[in-house]
Amino acid sequence: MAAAPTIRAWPAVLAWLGLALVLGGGPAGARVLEGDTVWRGRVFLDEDVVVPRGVTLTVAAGAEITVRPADSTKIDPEYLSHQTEITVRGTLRVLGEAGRRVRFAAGAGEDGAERWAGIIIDHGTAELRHCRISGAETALYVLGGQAEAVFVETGGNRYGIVAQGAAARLRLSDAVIRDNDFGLMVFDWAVVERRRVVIEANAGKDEWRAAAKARQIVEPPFNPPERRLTMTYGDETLTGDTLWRGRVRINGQLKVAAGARLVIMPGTVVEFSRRDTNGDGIGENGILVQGVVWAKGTARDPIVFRSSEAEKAMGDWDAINILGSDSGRNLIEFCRIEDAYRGLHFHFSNVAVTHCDLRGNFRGMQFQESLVEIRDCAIHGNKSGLQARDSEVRLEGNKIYANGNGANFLRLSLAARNNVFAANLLDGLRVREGTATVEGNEMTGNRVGLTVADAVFGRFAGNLMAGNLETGLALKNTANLEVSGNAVVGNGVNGLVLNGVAGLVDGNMIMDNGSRGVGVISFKGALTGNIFEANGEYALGLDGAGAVDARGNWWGGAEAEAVIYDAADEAGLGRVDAAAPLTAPPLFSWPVPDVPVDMAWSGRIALDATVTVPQGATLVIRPGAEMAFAKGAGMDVFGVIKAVGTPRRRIVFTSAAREGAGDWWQVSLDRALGSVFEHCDFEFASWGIHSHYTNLVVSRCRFRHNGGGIRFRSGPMTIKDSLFRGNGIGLRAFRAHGVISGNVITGNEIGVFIREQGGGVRVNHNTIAGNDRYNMRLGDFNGEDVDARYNWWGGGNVEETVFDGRIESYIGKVMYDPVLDAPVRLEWLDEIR
Amino acid sequence: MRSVSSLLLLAAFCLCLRPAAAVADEVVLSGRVLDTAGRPVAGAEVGLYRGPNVRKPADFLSNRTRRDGAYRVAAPAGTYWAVAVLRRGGRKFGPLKSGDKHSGEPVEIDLSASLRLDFEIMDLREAARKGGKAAADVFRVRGRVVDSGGKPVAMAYVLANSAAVYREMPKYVSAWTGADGVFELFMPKGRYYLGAAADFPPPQRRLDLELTVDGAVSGVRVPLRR
Repeated sequence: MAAAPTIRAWPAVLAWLGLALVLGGGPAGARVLEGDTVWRGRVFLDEDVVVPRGVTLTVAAGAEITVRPADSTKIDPEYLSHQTEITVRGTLRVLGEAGRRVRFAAGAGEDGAERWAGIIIDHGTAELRHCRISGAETALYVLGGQAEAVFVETGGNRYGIVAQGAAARLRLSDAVIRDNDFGLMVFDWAVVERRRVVIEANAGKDEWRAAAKARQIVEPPFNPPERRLTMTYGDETLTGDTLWRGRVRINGQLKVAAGARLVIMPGTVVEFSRRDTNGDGIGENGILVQGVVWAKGTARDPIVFRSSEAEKAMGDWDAINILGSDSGRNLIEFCRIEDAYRGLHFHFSNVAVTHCDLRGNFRGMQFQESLVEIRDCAIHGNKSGLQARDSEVRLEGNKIYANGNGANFLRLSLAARNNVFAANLLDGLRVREGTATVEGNEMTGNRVGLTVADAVFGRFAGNLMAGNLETGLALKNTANLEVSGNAVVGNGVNGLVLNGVAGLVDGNMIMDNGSRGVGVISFKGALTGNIFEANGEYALGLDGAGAVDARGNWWGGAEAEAVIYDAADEAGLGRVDAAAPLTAPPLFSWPVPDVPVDMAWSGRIALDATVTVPQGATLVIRPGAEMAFAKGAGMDVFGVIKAVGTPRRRIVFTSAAREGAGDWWQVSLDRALGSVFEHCDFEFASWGIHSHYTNLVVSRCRFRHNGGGIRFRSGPMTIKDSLFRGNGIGLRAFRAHGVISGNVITGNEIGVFIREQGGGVRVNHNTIAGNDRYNMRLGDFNGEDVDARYNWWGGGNVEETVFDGRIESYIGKVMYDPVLDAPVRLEWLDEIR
Repeated sequence: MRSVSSLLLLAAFCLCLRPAAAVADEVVLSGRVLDTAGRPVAGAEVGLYRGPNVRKPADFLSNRTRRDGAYRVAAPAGTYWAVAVLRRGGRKFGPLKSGDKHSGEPVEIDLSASLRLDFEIMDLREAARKGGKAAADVFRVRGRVVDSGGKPVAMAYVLANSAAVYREMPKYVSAWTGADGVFELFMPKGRYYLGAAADFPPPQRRLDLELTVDGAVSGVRVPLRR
């Protein structure tokens, strides 16, 4: 493939293409079709083709389209795949006939590449009749828009047909999807109508439906204030120092000469008019910096770069280009960049991009041969978020979400930490070659969370890959990578895919993936110390003939043979050595600050810092799980937590040190509606549970050796059949509503403390006895009486064990009469002794 | 910007051809295994593979290098892919572990005759450094913005100028700091005056912390005076 131009020169290269171009029997290079086009006879595609909005590509009956496979990194943002593709944003009409089918097939590949991308319907329209598509990654990929396929056959592809997203509509009739690796994949509520469709003999799966679970991200609204127009530029060059304030209009290509400096003050709005001289649908106005640019906004007064058009659209303007600017550092900070072809684009430059919001561009940011820091940015709603090659990059604290492709890197020296890659249609993060340290990142709800290819150095540790449509982590042709401590959970098909991999894969949590925890095509090395549990079909499935060393793993309590697919199941496959299985799950350190999507925990989880369950996410904790908190750590639950153990397999919330009360913080719930704890033990916390505004149900739990067992405000709270023993305070209620019944509250310093407005709490049918200072104490600001009838108080004088209005007249009274004449017992305690 | 054409093409140094070995059809690949500073590495091995897939045991393996870093491996004449590896702890086989070093992408070698080839090996950290993209004549100055109590300051930045007093803008400014207060500046050799600010444009016109840059600098603490 020819080297791609550095700055967008392709419009000129392709200017020879006219309207109504008819190709017959010749090669077709990379291009955006600029007019209606017809393909007849034999057509060879060396590179990608985009059918833009407003253009129709017609393929005549009997045409044979041969596509050259390539596995390169595409430069231009119009393209979606790293392979050779036909992408349709306008209209595609494939008009085959019975006996004169159209064929799309792969030709001889480049550099060993075997497949082309396929036909991608990207919010366009396609009508395909009587055709066969083969040799593609995905024969027909409907990412949005409408496709009708009649008498279409897909075979010999990795994926036969994929429809993805609620905006995708696919009508299939008399179609055959056969002999692909995977047949029909329907993701994220795409609508697929079928009539007389044959789906069979696909190697992996004939059909698969999945819905991504991505972190929910809501950007705060932002409307820049109206600014007075202070300057207008055409095609011109800035020299010396230039300072911008107010609103700046750019009606041309503005250069900042070498040696010059452009300083853009906080709150400036920079607008670009649309100029499209070559009619390719992409605006050409922009900024080219060869000196230095400081666009240094602030949180309060960000800088805006956008289209000046009344009807703003993606690609209205070109880019902020920075070329050969490495004598100091360029600063792009607190900037909002939208409507561009490439928001930021730099080569051979030193750039810091922090706190920026890049949205609605064809590509958010692209660079090569540069030294780049990208920190605390939001990159979203672009066709592709971030693409880079041959650069040194620090990527930290960014949210890269809801793009076509998230981030695609080639040959970087990369340090990527604490980023979120979420809900990108294709890869969340793709790393090819280079040297990468990827730690503490979240990849959720992408088609593939993280792909690493052709890499021989790298550390991929302590990341979360969860809820991705297909695969959490895919490694292809890699060696010597450190892949450890990752949570690879709840991905649609496979958790981890190893293809041509040598190295060590250890200490990962691989759970709840739809089909296989680990799918192995070929692997040399050791797969050890991992936690396999509750994966759909197999913990480990082998698709190759080589042996796999998988000694020393936890197989979820199952016999390893029962959850491994290898030579024992199918002749010709290699054998998996699963000797020396672990007899208990190893301790797994939760790698990221959040539980951002629905998931389950089991086994032994170490929490080194406080973990948040955000609103919209549900964390299920399975029976037998143990959470060991470090000093000061806890949980903040704004979503839902459901911790339901069994009498024999209780769930334990404890400290790593197990020394005493206050070792760890608390499980905090705030509007965590629908949460429940059952058969759980809380010990050594400051407070076991601290609940606000939550209809929490706690039953058959034990709270022991905590600063306090449960404290709560509002509710409605249900606390029943639980044991509170050896805590500073058993239960504490503040302006609360709820029922406390059937519990044994004993051996605490204070059994029940009603701090304020206790009239909404009913404390009945409990044993409240043997607490050191008070069985029940009402707070000094509690003026209400508390319903505490029908409790067992130890058989003595109740009033000697309570602090209420009988001692301080201005507070309410504990209404304890009548009392029970025998203690309430927790019969379930007998079961677990 | 330093021109580094490919991060992981780490091998292939000092290539020179020699006459074929004496044994018919058998040729010898020899040379030295060096670290990133060009020093010989002891304990390394060079493997020859018949194809580019080097994720398996080598087809031919050299001696383990001694202090002079010299290796030698004999093989039938042909085309090979070669990788040099240093495994800590004397392990012979298996995947590389943390601290092990190797030469990166396999090097395709036409071994129709004996030849000499030196390999450079490194670990992950060294490889990352090798891929650095900073301009050769500009140095990274790194440190923290701190408050009067010495604690890191977020949402501040550092200014630097060759004179203590500047008019509208200093010559260099850093990006806004994060919670760790860390800043980075990139400057050529010289004597500078530094200060910190929390507003942009910077409120002050005088900088009072002196710093001489004669290479990369780290650990600079710049107080933010409010």
